[in-house]
Amino acid sequence: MKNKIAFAAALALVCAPAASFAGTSVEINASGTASSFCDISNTGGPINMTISANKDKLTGTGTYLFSANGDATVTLSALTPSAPQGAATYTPSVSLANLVTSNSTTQAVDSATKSGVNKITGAITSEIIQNNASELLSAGAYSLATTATCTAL
Amino acid sequence: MKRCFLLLAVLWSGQVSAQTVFLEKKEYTVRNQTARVKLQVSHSRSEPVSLTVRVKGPTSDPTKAGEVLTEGVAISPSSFKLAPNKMKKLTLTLTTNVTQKTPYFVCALYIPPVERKETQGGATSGSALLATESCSRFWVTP
Repeated sequence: MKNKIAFAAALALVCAPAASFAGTSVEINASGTASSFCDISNTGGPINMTISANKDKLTGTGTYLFSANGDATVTLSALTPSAPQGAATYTPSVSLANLVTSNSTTQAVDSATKSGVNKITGAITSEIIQNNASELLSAGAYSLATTATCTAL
Repeated sequence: MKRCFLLLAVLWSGQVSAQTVFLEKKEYTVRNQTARVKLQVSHSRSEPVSLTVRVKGPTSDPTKAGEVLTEGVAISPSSFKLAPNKMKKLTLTLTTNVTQKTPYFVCALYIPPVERKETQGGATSGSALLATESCSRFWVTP
């Protein structure tokens, strides 16, 4: 009797794996989370500004690329211009076409929230425009600095 | 799988040259007045560049970042040179005593090198320097 029980147990062990191969099914579960992100880049490289034919402003252009996979905003920090010593008054400005424009040297300027997925290419225009009675820009070297920040919400 | 999505995100962002911040989660709980935030940073410029990571605090508007935080923030590392299309893993430790769900913003800043131009005589010329920064908002809950 003991032998029969032992034989039956051994048979069950041997046959069990075979039974599991009888019907093959594989369950695949995949899941993941895409981080929300945004990025903005100056794809045109350094921007050089040259004087206009009317002698009233310096203008330079470049290109930007903005992309985001969800709601995002773009902000231009307060502009930091520099001008020759004693220069006549002027106004700086930076524009990212269809996103945000700033001529403020004291405050950051925000774009409207861009919803959904976006990939936008546009022009960057930087200007130093005279703001004086003679409507002329003083001679010398000018510079303009700002930071374009995109924020993924 | 999460890595696959991150890779896809990097490949997509690879079509631009900007730096990108990827947060592991959007919401973190404070324990012992400390929130530990895991993130990764990448960029796809053509050569290694130096990036700076910083944290901005909340404002009255949850969609707008406030000032850069200089206290109560430890980022390891906060400045580094990164090769293109590589993920840099970072840990941000934020010490805060928030009493309600509060937004913070982690940002990767790239400042391009300044081009020196010689100006001759009284020539009128100029240059514009556009630094770029990518931020991601995360929430801290008590």
